[in-house]
Amino acid sequence: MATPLEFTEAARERAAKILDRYPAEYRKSAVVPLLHLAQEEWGHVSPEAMACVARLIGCSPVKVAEIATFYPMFNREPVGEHVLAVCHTLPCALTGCGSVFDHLSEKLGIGLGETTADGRFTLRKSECLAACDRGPVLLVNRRLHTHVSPEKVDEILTELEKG
Amino acid sequence: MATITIDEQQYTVEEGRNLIDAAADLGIDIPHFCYHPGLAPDGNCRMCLTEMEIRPGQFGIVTSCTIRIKDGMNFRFNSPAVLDNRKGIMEFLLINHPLDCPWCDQAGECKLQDHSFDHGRGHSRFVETKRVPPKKDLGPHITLYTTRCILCQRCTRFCDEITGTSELGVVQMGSKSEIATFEGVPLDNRMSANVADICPVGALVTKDFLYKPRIWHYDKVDTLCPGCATGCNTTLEVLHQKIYRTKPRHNEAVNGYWMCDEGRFCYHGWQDADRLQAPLKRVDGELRQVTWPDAMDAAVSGIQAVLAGEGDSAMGVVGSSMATNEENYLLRRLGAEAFGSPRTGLDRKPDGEAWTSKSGFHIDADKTPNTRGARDMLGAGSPEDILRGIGDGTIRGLYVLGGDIGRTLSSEETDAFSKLEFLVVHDVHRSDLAELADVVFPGAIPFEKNGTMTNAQGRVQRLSPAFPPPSGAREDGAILRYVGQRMGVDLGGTDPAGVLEEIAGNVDGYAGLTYDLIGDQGAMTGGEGPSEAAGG
Repeated sequence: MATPLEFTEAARERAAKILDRYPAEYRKSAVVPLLHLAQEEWGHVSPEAMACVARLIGCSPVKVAEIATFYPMFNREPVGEHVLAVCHTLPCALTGCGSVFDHLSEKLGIGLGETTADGRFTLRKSECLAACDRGPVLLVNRRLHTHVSPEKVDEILTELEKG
Repeated sequence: MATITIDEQQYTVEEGRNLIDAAADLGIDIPHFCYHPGLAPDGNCRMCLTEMEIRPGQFGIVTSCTIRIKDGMNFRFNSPAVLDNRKGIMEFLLINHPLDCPWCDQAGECKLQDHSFDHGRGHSRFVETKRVPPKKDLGPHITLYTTRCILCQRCTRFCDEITGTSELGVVQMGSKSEIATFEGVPLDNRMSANVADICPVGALVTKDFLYKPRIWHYDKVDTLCPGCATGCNTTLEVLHQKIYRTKPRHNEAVNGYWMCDEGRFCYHGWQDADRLQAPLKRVDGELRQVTWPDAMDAAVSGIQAVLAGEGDSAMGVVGSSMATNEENYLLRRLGAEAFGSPRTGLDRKPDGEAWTSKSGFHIDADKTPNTRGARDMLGAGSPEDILRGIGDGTIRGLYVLGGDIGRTLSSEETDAFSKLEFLVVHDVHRSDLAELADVVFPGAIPFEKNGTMTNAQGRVQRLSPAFPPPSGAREDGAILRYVGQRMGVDLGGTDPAGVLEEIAGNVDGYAGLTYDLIGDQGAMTGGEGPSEAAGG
């Protein structure tokens, strides 16, 4: 394993505030918010980041890895500036998520799970995002776009390029 | 006690016991994977689901492992819902299982195999491709055959609850879930190999017991671990006079369901030792192999020469904490009756490192199994006393029960023993001590011994031999009797149970102890009977 990773001073303060929310015997409950903090800090949650969170909580690092590998929204590899996740569960598939994904893939010139060479975009598929009545849906970073079509994808990308 | 109903039959069982154990007491087997009596119930495998009356006349599905018996509970173990559930769970568990029983080391003692036979479908409806994740090296002793794992999490809970080291976890999600260690933190604790014992399938295996003969070929021998003064109860698996595996044997008062890795694998050191195949006698300054009568003549005449010299008794005897109570007792008698009240000592190697797990399982610093028993039998003085006696010339001859392959001599001891006029040693290989002796009798290793030992708590427990000593060697008790006979002393019969009877009559704290009372769980010295001391 590489050298131990430590939070910056500012992030450490935020971590302390997160830990304060939980009683001492339930410190482990802080694992998800602390992993979010780690992802904000480093863009993705590497094993070194998991070990850093484990040290803060005072648990075995594999117990943090259990959580970090369970939730797909924790990035375990470096990602681009913008993460685009197309929902591919049944209702979105029926409303045409396939063409949305193909369009994105063609526009960006990358396949599933890949990141553009300039480091701007990462393309993913996602499990259900709980907006089945408005499919197909696309998650752009932390913002959900509904009723997405190839045309709407172009608009979103233009917006992001400007951004 | 509580009265419960199972399939319309009434039973009386212990209140508060969990349903799986209570049913087992009644001889009813509730199939399960994740529940283990040494661990807290988890209810994750869903195999033990039964029906319980939750409202009058209304039954609901419950996990038996988490149900604590209360008076009046009413269960159905064989209703269609229960049987269907089992069949369904078996089918789920086998979705990604490779069914590689023909070359899996667990075959024959595999819960998945047994339950599949009893409750499975007999054929698979699964047409999709099975996941084939690679096997993983988890630590120095354990390999994970990832494909075979059913994720019951006994191993992760063992590392959380028993050792407190938490090296194992379940990573990933859904069908990709796997048991894993964290990068750079292998499964490396002093009890790690227990996870292979409790794994209900062939997923976790020890590297030591891999591709070995099938488990149904072995003779099983209940004995004790010779690795430390805790005296873990063990079962050896033996084939063609060779030990292939040691497993812990349940004894709540001593080791619970567990044993340490050091003890589990220590049989290799003993089994691979370069054993003495015949007695040795010093001729022209060199040890040479001789016949038993020749060695006996040499030993007896040497001892007699020392006894004929000045002083009350110039002979000393040194017992061994590797030897049984019976052997040490016979040594005491031999000393008292043939050597005339000799000075007595006890041979023991230096202490190792003690360790206590989170659950209270204790590895003793004393790396020999019978220090307490040997002391009780011999009333032994300190090793320093023997060295002083040799130094000041009051001890000129010494009779030593050796037999510890891990024992090396300090330079001080080497100097002292070299000064002796005559040294007789029982040993199992050419140890430092044997090299200094005038006569060496080849004795037995702990796995060849029959008798009792007393652990650090004062619990007297039985050893049984896995196989006899090599053809040229003898059990140490028999050698002592032979020497006694040659010196005109009758040390009695050869049966350790008979010697124990004599010990019960003569040694403080051992009154009333018999082989029957000791049984397979041991009995406390001091007449307390079987104790309720906490186990691991």
